[in-house]
Amino acid sequence: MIISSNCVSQLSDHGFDWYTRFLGEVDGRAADQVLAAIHDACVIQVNDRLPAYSKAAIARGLELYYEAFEKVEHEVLNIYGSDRAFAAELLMHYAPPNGERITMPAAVMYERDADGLIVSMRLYVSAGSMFEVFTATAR
Amino acid sequence: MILNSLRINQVSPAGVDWLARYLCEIEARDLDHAINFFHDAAVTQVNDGLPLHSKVAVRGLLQRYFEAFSHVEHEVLNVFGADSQFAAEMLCHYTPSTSGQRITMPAMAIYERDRDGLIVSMRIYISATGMFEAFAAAEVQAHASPS
Repeated sequence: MIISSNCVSQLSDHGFDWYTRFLGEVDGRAADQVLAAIHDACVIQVNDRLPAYSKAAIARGLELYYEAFEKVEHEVLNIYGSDRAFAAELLMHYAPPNGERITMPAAVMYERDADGLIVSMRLYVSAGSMFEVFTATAR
Repeated sequence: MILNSLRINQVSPAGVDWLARYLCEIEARDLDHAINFFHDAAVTQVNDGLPLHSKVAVRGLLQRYFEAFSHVEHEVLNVFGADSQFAAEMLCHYTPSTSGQRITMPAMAIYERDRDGLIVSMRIYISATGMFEAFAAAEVQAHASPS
């Protein structure tokens, strides 16, 4: 994970630390730790696709994500909002199994409950090339 | 513009009012008023498209936008951040000029404003397949029509 490109952060130090740890676990492919940060009834949506409901559905999605990409690295550009509800602007560096690195700018919105668990995450990404890799993996 | 779907709002009432006024100018297809919200050196970017530098470039972008869509309506869902730097999550209801068939796309727009309130940077993230089709169709039509 790259945080040296972070320009705006409106989170507290604690919120920023939580977020970078979370992304670090996603990048580190530590599925158990990633899922531990997610509420059982969490809803995740990517662009205008159907939302995935529940931690179990997210666990399956995460599995596909790790199969599709040999390496994922998040570069945090800007974070707007508060620790409980915020939007992050990122560059996402993906390495599909063909080895060709893809970088996509993305915006992600997170909502966390009183215990800090993610209850909603919406991802907006111009994901043409990413979805091609996903589709190939799902086949 | 639809504001009654607004759930989380972290900006001030003045900030929401500013956003509503800006979106209304876009929906009214009022190019001159909409462009007045931008700084001369504003930079705008949509997804991973090349950034557009300057107000003149934004004007061109908006002009093509108005040509591509006969009707645009914004439904604001959530606004995260502070008045000078915030992210707005919205549903964009588009009616392409060519098909007339309404498309609804979720999107997130990030606005950065200077001390005078002018937009210095605007980045839009949108699942834009349907939208780009409308843009492409409008371009084809423009090229086919004799000038």
